Amino acid sequence: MRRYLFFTSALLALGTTTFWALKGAHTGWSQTSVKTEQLDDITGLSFPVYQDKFVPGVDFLLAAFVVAGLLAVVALFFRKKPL
Amino acid sequence: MNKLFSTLVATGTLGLASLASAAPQTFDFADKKGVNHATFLLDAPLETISGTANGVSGMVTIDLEKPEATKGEILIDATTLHVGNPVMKEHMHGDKWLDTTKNKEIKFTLEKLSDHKADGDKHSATVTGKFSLKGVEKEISIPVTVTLLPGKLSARLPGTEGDLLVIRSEFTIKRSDFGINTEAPTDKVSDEIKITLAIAGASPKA
Repeated sequence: MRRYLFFTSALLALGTTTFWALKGAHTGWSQTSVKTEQLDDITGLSFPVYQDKFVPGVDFLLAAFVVAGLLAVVALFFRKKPL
Repeated sequence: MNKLFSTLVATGTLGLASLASAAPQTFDFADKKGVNHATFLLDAPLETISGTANGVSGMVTIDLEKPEATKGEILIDATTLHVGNPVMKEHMHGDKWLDTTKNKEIKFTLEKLSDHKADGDKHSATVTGKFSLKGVEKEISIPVTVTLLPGKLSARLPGTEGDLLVIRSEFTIKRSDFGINTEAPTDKVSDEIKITLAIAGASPKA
């Protein structure tokens, strides 16, 4: 059980970091909509258009690390299997 | 006789046309396409917050021959203010911040135009007026650039002849001046709000 919890904790931390990095390593808060700029040819004005898209931020990363840390702490309460 | 009559008619028509071009024009800034918008930026040492609003409306009457007589108002529907993070958006619209349930409008009423400079159809000036946000009204002066696009309305609204007027402005206001969560630390939420306005108004020919 101890080993299983440590493994899950490490996997969660590593998996979340990879997911965060692949989604753009956004250093702000998580976003549920992303802004893109479009150009209005007639007036020459560029204007924002929002698309629904999840971009994980540092809060998402932090939450995953907290859960991973808790799992690791819980793992410490389990005895090591004798060799 | 016929020649004289034709000359008189032609002269009269030209005279009327020049008068018509010099007459004040009213531009409507309501925009169903969602091009008209304002962006806001709060750049604090610890956090940068940026977002947009696209609920723009209002009317501006301008006479490019007499720009100092320009009058009008631009309104922004405060409920259209948007940021990418849903929790931040909820807080921004909440009673501590903008309280958009009670204060649905952000308004700028144009009262005076000065320092007018023209470069072809592009004009620049300083506009002074009343800026109203979260129920607080303050007089501010902002730089604007105005570009007249004669006859371009039909490109935007097929079948409608008229002109377009593009207004751009960038100015800064203080959050504390308008009572927007004055308790929030300025290292996290900047006191200065940089606002960029990019809007186009339509003036259909009668």
